Amino acid sequence: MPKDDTIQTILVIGSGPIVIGQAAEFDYAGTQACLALKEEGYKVILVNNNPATIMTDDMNADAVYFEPLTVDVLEKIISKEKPDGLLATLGGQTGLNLAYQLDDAGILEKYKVKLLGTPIDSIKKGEDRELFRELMFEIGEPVPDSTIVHTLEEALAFADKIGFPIIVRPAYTLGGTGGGIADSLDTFKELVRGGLQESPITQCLIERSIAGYKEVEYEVMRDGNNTCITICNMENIDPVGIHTGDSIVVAPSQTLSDDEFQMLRAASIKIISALGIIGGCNIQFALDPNSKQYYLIEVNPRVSRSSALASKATGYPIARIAAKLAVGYDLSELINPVTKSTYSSFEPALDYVAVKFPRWPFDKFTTADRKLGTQMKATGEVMALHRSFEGGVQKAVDSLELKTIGLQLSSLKNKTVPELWGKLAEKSDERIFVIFEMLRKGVTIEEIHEATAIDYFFLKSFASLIQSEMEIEAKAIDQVTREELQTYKEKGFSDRYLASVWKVSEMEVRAHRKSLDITAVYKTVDTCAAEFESHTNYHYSTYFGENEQQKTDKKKVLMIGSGPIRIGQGIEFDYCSVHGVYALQDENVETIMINNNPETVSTDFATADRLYFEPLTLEYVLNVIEAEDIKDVIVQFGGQTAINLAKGLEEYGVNLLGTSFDTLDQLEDRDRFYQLLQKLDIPHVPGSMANGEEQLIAHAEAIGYPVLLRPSYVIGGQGMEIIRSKESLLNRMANGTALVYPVLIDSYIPGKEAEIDLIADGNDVYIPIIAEHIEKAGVHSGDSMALLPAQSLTDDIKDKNDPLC
Amino acid sequence: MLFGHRGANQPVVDLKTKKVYMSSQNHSYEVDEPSLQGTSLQVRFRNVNDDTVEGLMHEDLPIFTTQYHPEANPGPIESSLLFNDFLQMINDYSGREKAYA
Repeated sequence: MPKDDTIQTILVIGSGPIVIGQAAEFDYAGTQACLALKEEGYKVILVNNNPATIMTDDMNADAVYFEPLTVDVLEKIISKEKPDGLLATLGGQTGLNLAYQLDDAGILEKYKVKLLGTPIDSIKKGEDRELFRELMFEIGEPVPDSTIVHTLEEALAFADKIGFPIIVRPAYTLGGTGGGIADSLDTFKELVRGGLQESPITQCLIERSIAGYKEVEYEVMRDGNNTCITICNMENIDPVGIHTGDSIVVAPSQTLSDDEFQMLRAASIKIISALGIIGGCNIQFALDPNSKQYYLIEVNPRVSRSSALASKATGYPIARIAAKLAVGYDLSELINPVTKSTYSSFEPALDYVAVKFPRWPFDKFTTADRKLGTQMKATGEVMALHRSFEGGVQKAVDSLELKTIGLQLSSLKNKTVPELWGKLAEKSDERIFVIFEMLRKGVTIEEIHEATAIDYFFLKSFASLIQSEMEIEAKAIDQVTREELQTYKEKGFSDRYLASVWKVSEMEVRAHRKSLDITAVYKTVDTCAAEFESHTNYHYSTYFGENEQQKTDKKKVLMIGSGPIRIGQGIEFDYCSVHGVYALQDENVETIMINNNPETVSTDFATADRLYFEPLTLEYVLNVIEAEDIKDVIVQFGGQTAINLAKGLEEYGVNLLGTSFDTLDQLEDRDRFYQLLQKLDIPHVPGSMANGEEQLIAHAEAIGYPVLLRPSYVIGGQGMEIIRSKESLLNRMANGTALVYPVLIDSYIPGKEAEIDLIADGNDVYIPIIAEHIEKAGVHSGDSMALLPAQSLTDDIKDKNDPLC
Repeated sequence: MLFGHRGANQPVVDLKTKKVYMSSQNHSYEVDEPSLQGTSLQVRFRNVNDDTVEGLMHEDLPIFTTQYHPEANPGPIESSLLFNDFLQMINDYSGREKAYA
């Protein structure tokens, strides 16, 4: 069916602030949806209160409301703007819950607003555990033994019947909030109590644990004509028991036979049809590794985090197509925007593997419980594309920006095998590195399989990587043959890793590799594995086969992205880099984006002129620079991730546009920064730098307590501590994580804190606004509430600030 | 055909039901549509991507054809419904009561 002409104005609900389980992917989905609707000539009204998003730019909607996402506020907006359609399935759980509440309160009916896409009934059936289970019984799809409870007593009665372990899943919560697996009565009680509290309708599903089964997800789309397609399937390396947002995921599935694949695919299509969804949907299955028995774990009747991943992994723009389905189109009427010659009613073919690796906040929150379970703890994720699973894992690990060299996490290096077994049992975020370390120390894959139920296919791939590590260690750089080095690169070993093993510099490995004529080639993500001609400029590097990338001789600029979302480095940098891209495009400069975060707008292949999905390390960035013949690079929009690359790039002779590395260093290096301030006669907090313990004590005394300790070059105040006396300093030096020198020591002044954002072209400075913090200095600016414009600063103080800039 | 149709992700539309579904295909030749003129054969299935003929049906006789693989091994199993159609046809046109009834 063609589009619905009875509608002119569409209200789109965004997903609000970033929370664990609902991050940048909904900015990506929302932006795509708004653009798709505008492309069809609709007037788009957007409600969202997250300023760090691209969707809230006025170019993406006709009217943007920065208002709280509540029913009352939405009713006011609806009565003012009089939309005739509402699109709520692209705003995550927040959008979905609001649509549900608006319908419940009769507001949609009152103002004659048509809910577009998936009907309310389908949303209810997908989200309400009880309705969903009833429907699955009706159509004969298996769900694990379970029951719905509203009280603790009901839960205890069920536990009596089926025994432990039991999974607790609260209804209508995000990323499994409040859920978990209980092995004992005590944890069970605790989980049920918490879960009932978390659930807005005081309802929990408790079910028999199927831990150990393979966890497989399907991304499915359906139009009003009941055409159903699966965009891709994804397999979690971790078996059922760890939230999919915390699992390492590979697309397409690696260990299913065609029979199993088609069985689950057919079940997905049956389910999406029975639910009556119009748009995208994510379905999770548990598959018994030893039989064909499977269970449904969950259905998300909306675009989800996995949809963003599936879009980036396949090149198929799910959110954009879902928005068009919502206004009435059929899949077979929509052109595939990637090939521009075929239709959207097809299933993408992948001639590569995509590996997703979560990024956890435990480097910031060192005392948090690192055990993973049914409740998501990751703040972000990276994706890596490669021709082999092994290469994909390596690229993903390189993209995480952890303290790793190759596949080795430095903190695990000196652990003994029994210690590692203990670590493995903790099921923490580090377990994959624990497995690597165990393999290095001679533990067999059989033993690891026994303990983790991770499929042998994955464990064998890990073991083969560790085997290669040993071969590499037995060589020296001048002994390695071309064939051997080629093999190592095909398996994804980085120059940096090879350099660390062979005790040479990374640049020596790079030079040697190039002298042997081993360079990265670039493949294209085109949704169809080259079956049709495609128009994407979406690439990834590998060392297999021929180069598919074509370079242009236009004026071009490389934009370095900010990698995975973590505390202190969120989507605001995505906002910056995307706007950087738009501004350059306006100036007719060709833009090339390099990034590895699958959730973002910057990695939408429709954003920059060309997209490279790569780790943000010097090697991968230089490879792109050389392959594209790039002269100019912008690092200032990519957060600390990109800043950390500045030095290496400049040393290699790359021109950094805008601020140079020297200036960045002058600001980041406290000593140099203070020298600069003194030169400019600007008062600064008394502070100095200490290179060792004695110096630290002496300098702290000289400055006077309380003092603030921090390392150089960090994001979001990582490792920053306030020390109030000499005793606590001594205590701090003796306990906790080791201090990394040099350490910066500042006098800690609990005064008012204000920030100025400004822009300068070298001569003139423009100050758009001054922000004033409500909390006193010492609360990180990212954690404090701020008022714009500043309320309590006198004009005199403001004027004093101006010339300082 | 230049490259033919290959793979388990080929979209086919059944003109009888207007449904679109995935099919498993592996063919290098296609039915030349003008050649159907003057026969009692009609196009029933088409490939959505390039509009080529993927199957025919007869106007009067219990005959239908596919150019692709409805048995789908490997491949998506949506077109298994065609086997039900086929069995139904056998029952409808057998011209006698069920032999073993």
